[in-house]
Amino acid sequence: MKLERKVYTTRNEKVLDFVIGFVGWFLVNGLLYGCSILILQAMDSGTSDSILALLLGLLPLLINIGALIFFAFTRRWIALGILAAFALVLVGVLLLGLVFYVICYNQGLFN
Amino acid sequence: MLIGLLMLIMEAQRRHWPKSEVVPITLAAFVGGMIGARISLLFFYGARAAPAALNLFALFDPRIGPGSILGGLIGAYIAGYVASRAIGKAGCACDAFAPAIALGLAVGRIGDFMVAEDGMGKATTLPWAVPVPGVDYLVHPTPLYDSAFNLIWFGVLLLLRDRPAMQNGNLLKLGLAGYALFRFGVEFVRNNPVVALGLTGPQFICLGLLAALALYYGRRWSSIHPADWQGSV
Repeated sequence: MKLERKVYTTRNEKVLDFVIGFVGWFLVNGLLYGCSILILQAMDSGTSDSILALLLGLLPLLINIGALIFFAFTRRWIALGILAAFALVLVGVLLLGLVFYVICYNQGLFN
Repeated sequence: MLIGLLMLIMEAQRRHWPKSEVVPITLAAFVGGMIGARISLLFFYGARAAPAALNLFALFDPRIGPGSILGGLIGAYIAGYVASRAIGKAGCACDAFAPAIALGLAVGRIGDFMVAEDGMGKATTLPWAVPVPGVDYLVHPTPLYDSAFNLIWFGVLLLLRDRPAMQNGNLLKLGLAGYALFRFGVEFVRNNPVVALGLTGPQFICLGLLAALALYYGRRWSSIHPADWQGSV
């Protein structure tokens, strides 16, 4: 199968693909997260279940990396939208981590 | 990270690197770096790190640290490379990252030292040994070693950045090789667990990185000078 790279002719096409990538990333990953939670809740605890839990976490990672590479070489602006969404959440997580750390560090300092 | 980003923007402007290339490559490098940093925890802690290292959703858990800098550098490099190929960039503008990474690490490691969390060293009686919370002995201030090296390395990379031989990705490769060499050495006084052969996980990553760079330059050199090789046989 030969991958065809989309040629963007108007700004609207770029914006539309960017929005598809950005919003789609939240929708797809929200769905994957919801499914993994439901499956994990339906399972009993055990060794085989922990492997399944690992796979449930790994599969979305592989899907995300695969989708990013696929769209990077076919519809670049969708890939950019996905990257923007991914980066936005990661920056948010880093900032939240900073806040958590400051709270913990202050407790250690003043208690 | 912010200092590194600021340096990257300044260096990209100096190199007249267009925004249409800077933004996707930087975004890809950031996301790839975060994923790489987390996945490389497998080299530090083995299979027990798998639930945090291989789970996409654990990547968004602020209670878990971002992971290893070395893994982050490798992840960022791979993602940046894929992104630059995807946008059809001729040549490589990734050299703008080299001084930014060194400066970012120089500043970031001071933060690591101040919170005494990441990579504090083994016990020592050297005059510059420092106390850390939780232990009653003095240790190597390894984040400060890291910071000092990266500050010097930043200066070296700035001096070399305009050399013709240091273009098309060579400055970045030199930057990574220099840090890998330094990190391999400093791991002997850090407190990371030994994985095998008396070496820690990061040391194996450093060796892999150096081997990959040696292979790349070896193949490149032999393709540039095939006549020299034939003549020497």
